[in-house]
Amino acid sequence: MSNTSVLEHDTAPGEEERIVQWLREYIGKVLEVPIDRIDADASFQHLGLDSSAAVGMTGDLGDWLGREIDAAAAYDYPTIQALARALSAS
Amino acid sequence: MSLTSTTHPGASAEAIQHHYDAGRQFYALWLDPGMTYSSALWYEAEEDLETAQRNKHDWHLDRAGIGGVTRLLDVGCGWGRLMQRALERKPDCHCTGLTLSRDQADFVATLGDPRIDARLESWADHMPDQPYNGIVSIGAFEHFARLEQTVDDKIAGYRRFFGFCHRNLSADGRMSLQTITYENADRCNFSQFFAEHIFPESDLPHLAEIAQAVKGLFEIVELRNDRHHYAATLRHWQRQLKQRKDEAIALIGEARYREYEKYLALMIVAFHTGTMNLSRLALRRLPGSTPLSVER
Repeated sequence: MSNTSVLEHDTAPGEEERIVQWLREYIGKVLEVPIDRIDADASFQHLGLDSSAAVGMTGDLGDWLGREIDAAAAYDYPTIQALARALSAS
Repeated sequence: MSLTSTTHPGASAEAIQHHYDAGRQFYALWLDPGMTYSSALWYEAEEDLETAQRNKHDWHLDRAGIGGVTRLLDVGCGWGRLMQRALERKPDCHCTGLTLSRDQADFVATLGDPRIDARLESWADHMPDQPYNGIVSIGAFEHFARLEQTVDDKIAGYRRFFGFCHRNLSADGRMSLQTITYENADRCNFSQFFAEHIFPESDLPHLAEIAQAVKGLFEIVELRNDRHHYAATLRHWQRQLKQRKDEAIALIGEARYREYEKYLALMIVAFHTGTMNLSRLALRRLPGSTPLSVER
């Protein structure tokens, strides 16, 4: 584990995991696939989310977290893990 | 005054009204106070949206040579803010604005300024009795072609527009154009959602198609590609629309509110990732072609 990720994790303990879990459940529901088949390190595109679904997801995640998330966040951080890590660090 | 044109190659008046006639009250909730519905221009990141919209209008007015303009044409005049700005800077200028949106034409008429003539008319039907010496067109060119046209027909349609501008500009006239363009994408990637719900009957140009269409009519003096400015503008609009969500839903209903929410988010993604760009071009009218040598 790099120093950076230790720092990020220390900043928001548990939040990254909560976001990962939320994203897996959300994508599972949207794509109608079991959660255990959703790889947190696969790209959203590879998982089968199109651009409409991706911006819908970002908007709903922002509502759930109670803060603004940039509409393009899923493009700058294109996997569940990367997005969750970036959001929990910010 | 005609709403349907036989020669206008792009989106119909009905298609334009589908988008823009959602109503001034609705757009007033989330646009800047000047109701400018196109990308702004930031010189400093901390400038507010209204300032950035004024920067944009001034950029285009400068390229149209506002200091010397007495007759200005605004093709796609929206709710008239560019013409008002032109008159702030050049009070003795006369402005003609063309729009296909009844709501916009009605609104500009209520400004009651005798120096502004707003017409519910396509450029293809516009026949001024005197030439203009400045033309600005912001956010209208996106509607000048349709997805089902061949590329050749599309460019020919653009060329008809530039021909219209060339015919109706004085010899030293200048023109400034702002349009969304395809950047790292093509018309086959045009989102079905945009085509069906947001901008029906419209297609975007590639920069190269514009360059082809102006050949022999205008020279490109200056070009700015400002996709990040459009993304920033959209983020302002999105934030504002969200803050006024309840009022927006009361005006247009939840389903259409969701469409706008999605449209703004998809546009942010498109400009952020470079699928689309925002091009601003300053154009100088060319004289008729002059052969370099004459064969004897």
